[in-house]
Amino acid sequence: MMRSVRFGKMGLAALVALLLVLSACSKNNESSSNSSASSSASKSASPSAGSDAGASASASPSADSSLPPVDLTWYYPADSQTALGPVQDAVNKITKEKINATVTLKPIAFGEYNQRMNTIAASGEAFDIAWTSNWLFDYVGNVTKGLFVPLDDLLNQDAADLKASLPDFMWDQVKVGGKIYGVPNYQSVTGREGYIVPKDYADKYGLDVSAIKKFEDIEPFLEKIKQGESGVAPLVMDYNGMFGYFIHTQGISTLPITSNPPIGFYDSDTSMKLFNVYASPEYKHYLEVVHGWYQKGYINKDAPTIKTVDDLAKAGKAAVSYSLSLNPGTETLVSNNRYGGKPIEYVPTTGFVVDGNPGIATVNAIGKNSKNPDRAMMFLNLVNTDKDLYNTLVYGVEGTNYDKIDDKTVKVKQDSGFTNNAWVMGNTFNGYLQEGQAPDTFDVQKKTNEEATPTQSVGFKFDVSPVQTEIANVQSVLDEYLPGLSTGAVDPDKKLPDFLDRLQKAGIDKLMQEAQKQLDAWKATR
Amino acid sequence: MKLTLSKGRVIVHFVYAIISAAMLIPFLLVVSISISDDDLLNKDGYKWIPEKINLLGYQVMLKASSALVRAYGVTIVVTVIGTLLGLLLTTMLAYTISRRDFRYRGPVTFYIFFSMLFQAGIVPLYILMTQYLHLRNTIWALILPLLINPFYVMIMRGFLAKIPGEIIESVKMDGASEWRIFAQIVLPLSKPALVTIGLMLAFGYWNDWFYGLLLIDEQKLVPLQLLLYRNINAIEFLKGNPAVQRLGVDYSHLPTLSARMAMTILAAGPMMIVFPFFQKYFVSGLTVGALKE
Repeated sequence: MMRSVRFGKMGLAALVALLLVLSACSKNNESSSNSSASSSASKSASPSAGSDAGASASASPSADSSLPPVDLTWYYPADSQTALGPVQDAVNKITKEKINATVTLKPIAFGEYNQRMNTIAASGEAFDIAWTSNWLFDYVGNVTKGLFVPLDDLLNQDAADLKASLPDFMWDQVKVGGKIYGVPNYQSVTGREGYIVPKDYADKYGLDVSAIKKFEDIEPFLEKIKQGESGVAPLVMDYNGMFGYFIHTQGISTLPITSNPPIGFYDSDTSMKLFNVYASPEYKHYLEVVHGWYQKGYINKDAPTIKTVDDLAKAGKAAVSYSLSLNPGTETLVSNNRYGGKPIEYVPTTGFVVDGNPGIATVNAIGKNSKNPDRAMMFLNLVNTDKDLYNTLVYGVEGTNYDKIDDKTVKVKQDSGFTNNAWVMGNTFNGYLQEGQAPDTFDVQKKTNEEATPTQSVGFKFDVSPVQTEIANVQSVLDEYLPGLSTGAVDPDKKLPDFLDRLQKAGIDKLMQEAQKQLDAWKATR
Repeated sequence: MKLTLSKGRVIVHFVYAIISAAMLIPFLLVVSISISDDDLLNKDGYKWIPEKINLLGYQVMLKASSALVRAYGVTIVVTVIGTLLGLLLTTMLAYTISRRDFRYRGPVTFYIFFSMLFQAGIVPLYILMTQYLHLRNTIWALILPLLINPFYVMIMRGFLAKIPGEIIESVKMDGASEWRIFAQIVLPLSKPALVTIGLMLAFGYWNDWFYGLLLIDEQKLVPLQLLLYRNINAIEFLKGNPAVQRLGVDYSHLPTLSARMAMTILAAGPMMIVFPFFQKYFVSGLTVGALKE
């Protein structure tokens, strides 16, 4: 008995010793990344962190020559960056010289970004800059949680050039509660609904672009393809159907609450009275048309189950597709992704519109626990105003990752281990054009941005927290019914009443009332 | 020996044949896709026997083989170290709480049991790993979290509890120390359980990608399954996302379907060859633990 007790104590003692040794070694190893150790300290003092930052920034506004060296961390999504090292060195060479700072780039795969960043945010880990948006790693939600530093003062002190370089409507859109919490990446902010038709079909079957004003006007063209081609679906849809893609064509604007928005208002209605779009006469009409098309074989049979139209279109098994962003200068990209590079033609059914919150579709924000928010701001200023730096971040090193075709245009080398999306890093209009884009692409896009018609609700941000349950319920009903209905696969006479009934039970009215309340309040402040 | 084909037996065989087919067929399809031509694949859909054999998928993957080889290395190291260490710790822990003369047996057992019921979740784990243990971007981030599974400890304890106390008592009389009893008496007696738990631990390590996703940024420490997950997941995520279409991502350069399937085969292949050799231990380990007179 005595012996066994001693063993027990010995075991416990050994365990404690092991733990101590473990934690001791790890402390020694980790002197280089001081971020994690300090973050817990700064977290405990987090209410004052923002104001501290402001104070230190204002203390050293004109100290350009004597800026202490710092290292910044930047989290952003990217697909594959296996050879990041040389690019990072090139970036640091520029930033070291200009603002005496280096930056550690931390790309995370798109599919993992949400989970990774939410974990980082919840753990209070320090980072200087993080990419955020309204569709991946939610901007407004994270601002509400207090993850980002308000930038108004920093922008005026350290980034006057950046502030001046973007139009006011971009800064308006990133405001939450009247304050700016992120730097929007300026790019094409417009949308335009319509069909995409491969050029060979358009020529062969005599497509009359000017005759197509409503979504159903494409029917005669589809019919000709059906008769002339075998084994080709005249119109290709995925499980989302295309009602949401032609929403403005039908005179409706929706609020982006779920992936297929359930509520909206008529563009002509200045009081912005919300209604359930699936109970509208427009949806009923849409269903009757597409159900007819589906039965006549104009739509691919597997539409309710496929997640993307790209594979079918690329294989030449489908002709016409559709999009809600037929922006100038995007033909090459769309054709590469969807039609394997074949020439295509856009058939727009609306003018250029600005809808929702394009300003927060891609944003870079500064973390609350950053120790150097002023330096991070200087860095972001540089990214958005220095073309060399921006192009290095997007395209990498000349000769290794891309070749120059002329002054403004580059050809990206495939498989060089570095690819990045221009809109993640900064103002896309500062970048090179890619091979195949017209030289005036950026001018046209900028002009389009300025001339496009904004919808009445543009800039409105819906706070989902009071109706989260209803949103989840509505979403699951939409997921259940839309793939069948919106692709025309099932008979609307039988299923539509069911669908509407289920939406009612899921609480769409409560959702609508809440949205109306917020929308009215927002409208009153305009 | 005469094989009697009774009705019951036919049914049993039939059921198992169907189950085996349900596992084999998708795999054969993956093999077939991996050696198919991508254009034909998009055009005609999947075929059991590819019309035209095209090894481009494998060429693409082998050209970028350094990442694959590296990932193999990481996974093998993690699996070997993790399994051995995990097995040792699991057995030590289980042995201690299986001894009736250990005074704190109740509380310790409860402590282990408690962690089976309630888990803190990802965020505390992340904070612990990154801010206190500073294990981010180290190989230990892949090893430590899976080291001890309370469930395996309980199985092991159940097994070890069946070793008669008299054996231990008598060895102790002969003057053996506790460590010696553990190493020379208990461990050899529990071989079947060790093999079983060891295999389960090894599978856990081999198949894990989650801790890599959470805690590994550096390309050189990415384990095999995470590499696979990334390759398959990235393209699905980008294609199915309307916001991405709006912003314009060129995903035409991402690996094609056949390349992704080729990668699956390259990643799964060696394990499939190794597994049958261990299988007999696995089966015997399971049954030996179950019934003992």
